[in-house]
Amino acid sequence: CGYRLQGRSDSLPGDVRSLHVELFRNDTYEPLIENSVTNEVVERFARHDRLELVEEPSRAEGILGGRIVKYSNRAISYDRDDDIAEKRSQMTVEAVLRRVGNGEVLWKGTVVWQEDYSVNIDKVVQDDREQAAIQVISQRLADELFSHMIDKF
Amino acid sequence: AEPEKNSSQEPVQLEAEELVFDQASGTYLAEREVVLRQGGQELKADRVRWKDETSEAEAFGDVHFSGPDGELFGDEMFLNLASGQGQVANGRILVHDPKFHISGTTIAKTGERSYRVEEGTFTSCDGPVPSWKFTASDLDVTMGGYAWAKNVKFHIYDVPVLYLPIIGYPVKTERESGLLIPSVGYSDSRGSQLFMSYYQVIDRNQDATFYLDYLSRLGLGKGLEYRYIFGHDNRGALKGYHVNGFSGHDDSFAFDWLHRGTLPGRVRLTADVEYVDNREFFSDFGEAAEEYNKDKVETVVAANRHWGKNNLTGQVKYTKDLEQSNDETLQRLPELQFALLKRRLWGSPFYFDLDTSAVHLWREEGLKGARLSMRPALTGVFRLGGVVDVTSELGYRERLYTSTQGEERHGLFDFSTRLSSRLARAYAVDVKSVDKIQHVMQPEVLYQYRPFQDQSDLPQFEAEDYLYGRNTISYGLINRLIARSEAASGEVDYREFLYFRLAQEFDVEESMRHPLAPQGQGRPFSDLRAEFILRPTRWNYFDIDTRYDISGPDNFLTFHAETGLVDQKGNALSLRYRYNRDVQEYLATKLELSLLKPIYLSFENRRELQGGANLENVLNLEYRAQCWSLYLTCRDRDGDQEVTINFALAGLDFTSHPGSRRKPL
Amino acid sequence: DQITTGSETIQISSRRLEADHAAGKVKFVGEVVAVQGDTTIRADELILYQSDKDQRIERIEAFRQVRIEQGERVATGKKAVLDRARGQVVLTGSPKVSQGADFVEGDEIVFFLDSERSIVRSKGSERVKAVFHPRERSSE
Repeated sequence: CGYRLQGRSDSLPGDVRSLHVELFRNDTYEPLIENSVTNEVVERFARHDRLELVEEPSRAEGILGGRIVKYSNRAISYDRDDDIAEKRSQMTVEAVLRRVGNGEVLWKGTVVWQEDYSVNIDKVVQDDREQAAIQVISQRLADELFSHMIDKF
Repeated sequence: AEPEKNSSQEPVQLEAEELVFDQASGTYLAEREVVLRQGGQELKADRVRWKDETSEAEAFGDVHFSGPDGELFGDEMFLNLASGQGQVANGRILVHDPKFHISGTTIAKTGERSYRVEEGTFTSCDGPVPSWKFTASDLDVTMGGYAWAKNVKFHIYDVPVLYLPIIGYPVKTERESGLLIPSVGYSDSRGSQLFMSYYQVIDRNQDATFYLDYLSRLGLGKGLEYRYIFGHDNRGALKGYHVNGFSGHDDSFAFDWLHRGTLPGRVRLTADVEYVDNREFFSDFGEAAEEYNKDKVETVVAANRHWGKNNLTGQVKYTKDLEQSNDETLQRLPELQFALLKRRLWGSPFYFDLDTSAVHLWREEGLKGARLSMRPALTGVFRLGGVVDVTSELGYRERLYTSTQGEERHGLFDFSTRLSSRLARAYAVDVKSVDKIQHVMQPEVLYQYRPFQDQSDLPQFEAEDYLYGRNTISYGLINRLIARSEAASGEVDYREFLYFRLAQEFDVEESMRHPLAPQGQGRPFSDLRAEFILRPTRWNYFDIDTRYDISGPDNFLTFHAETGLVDQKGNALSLRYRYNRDVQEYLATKLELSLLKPIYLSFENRRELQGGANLENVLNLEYRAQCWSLYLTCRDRDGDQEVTINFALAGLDFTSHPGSRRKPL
Repeated sequence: DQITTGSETIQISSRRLEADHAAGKVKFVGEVVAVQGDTTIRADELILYQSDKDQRIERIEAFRQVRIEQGERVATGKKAVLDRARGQVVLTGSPKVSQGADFVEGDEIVFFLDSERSIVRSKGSERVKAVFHPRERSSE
């Protein structure tokens, strides 16, 4: 019915066939979030069958890198005693795809994702929920990044 | 020195009614309606003597010089267009952006964009009698840079209101600056309030703000905020605030430090420190929601270094719970994490990654100890029939403990497989500038298994110390609608205006639900989660995130919705609705209106719908005159009504005071 | 024809010459070229007025397509009048003086022979305009 399978013909901008994914730089005050973002981006791009992931940057046609521009963890709702009830973690990632050799920018974009969680009287439980939110955000950001880069129709 | 490579190399154009040229001295004397232009600079006067050799101009009679940043008026002006230096008697400067008027008995133009003014006055108000102005014995101004003034008097209309020996402030708007901008108010809990702040530039990369706050029922607050930029990219802000308590309130102290930078050896250091000595500090001093009801303050100091895709991070994390005693609050003093991020193994379909972490978990009373944890994982990425991607991951987590309970260890496997695909079809469309819309479908099935093993013998600090068994299949479908529009210039723009995801989980064996999933789930089928993000234009949005409970009585487990619309004229409406079954039902509304110009209004209401409790109303009224603004803020919440009046001079931003703590750097 | 004025002789050539010795007036017509030292005056028509006492030239008038060259400086206009008694040359008819890319133009340009001064005036129709390019200054 006219739906073609992604991956058959779609390649990355600049027709990049082999890609090296760099560690994403963390420009926020929240440590450790660059690990889950980078891992999820590597896994998401590895699933694209028109693309060869390469560990040696010099042997790749394109390099995908970026930085985590902003992480915020703010209250978004309150209970009947006007105490904080839910919080929202939000991450903004700026990514750049460059051609190896001349460093030409083939694609540049920003993706944002957020996940909410409820506060808990036990701050350990609350921190665990924030870490779980960061994990979900990393997965969704990786998918958003891939989807925006492959959009060419 | 080489003459500046700027407008002084461009040709000079001279126009007048009469021009006398003296070949010997190379000077031109132009008379009546003289206009002299060079590059972006233009000089108009009744009479101008111009020396071509040195490009010096002496102008007499109704002199008006205009350059890229501002204009200079005066009776007599001496100007060197090459060096940009000059002198004007009884001069006046009009700076364009930000808009300032500066006048003085003598104004010396000391550079392309810098002036020194004697007996000067300084204001951003137009008109012959400015509503406020500063006078100074001498004033050094660099456009887009800094201004230093000595013997400064601040006038309201012509009445001197304040004297200051010396002040320094940036003449650029992006840096927050404020100069003794008083704000007064009254609140039931804090009594009558007077907030004073004084901004002081220290040098090119340092500045400070002093706060003095009088709160009749609470105490006298003194604050110092110091901002710095050192070296290439080490920047930060330190803030200390001390209160002498009145009428039974004891003294209290708060400290704040934000820092980000790179140390030698490519080590990145970040600090986000927030500390208060007594737990009531924010409920006393916090003004806005999320401050007066702040649940905890955290101190995180971290250092990080990476070698390619191997990333080492060390952090210290200290949390102070503001809602209960801190004897049992768990602290991470320190934690070290070394991650070998996912990398492909020799061009095979397999990827490897390793997380290792060592943390010393401490609390004043109760369980203390250290945990070393490692998780290597192997991920295989395959293609099933060219249709479906298969991603399988096998991990093994090993945890070793020493704690007040003794030594323990535990290791267990985890396995997951993700089947996913992505289908897309573009439809030709003719709606405004959109010529194609693509519909993308991403189906996905995820099987997750982790053995059900009792770990109660391990010290229970946090989630990682009891990894619950898991045997579940989760499945979901993401739909995307992306609009393609081609501008006249041929530039193509893609915009995703709809994202719609449906997901559910099935228990092969009854397992713990995801930590973010709410309680009270059906078995073996979890709730059905729907995420709906609609962006019809850039000026409105409509988001829904709901969990539909197929088995429970009330079908919605959670229903979260946000919507908003804004026009470019400063009017905006936004709504946030949060329903969590048996927990809460909450609605926040915010309205911003600029229809009643020059009065700008913003109204915010937060209410808890189940108990019908109105949590807070905030009304902000701003009267925006040409060169000053008056703010009236009324806050009404349970137990405290507050009114504050703030005053700001255009070009000098309104400074924050102790209540609003976080300022993005 | 060799005519001495002041210290240097002027050589004037033209297609036709009409002399009226009684009135002390000599008229050159057609591609007139007058050279004195490093100054060359070209015009369609040029009239010399000699004083009746000592044959010295008191006044020169040049008409149509007047072009005065002196070193790199060139002055052009529709009419030029040299008045020895007042020691000045007056150029009119959208006069213009240029030197390389620099130039000055107006309604009337007056050159003073004794000093190196000159005045450019607007007579209401065209404002005085001057454009000059800063010479490569020696490093200050």
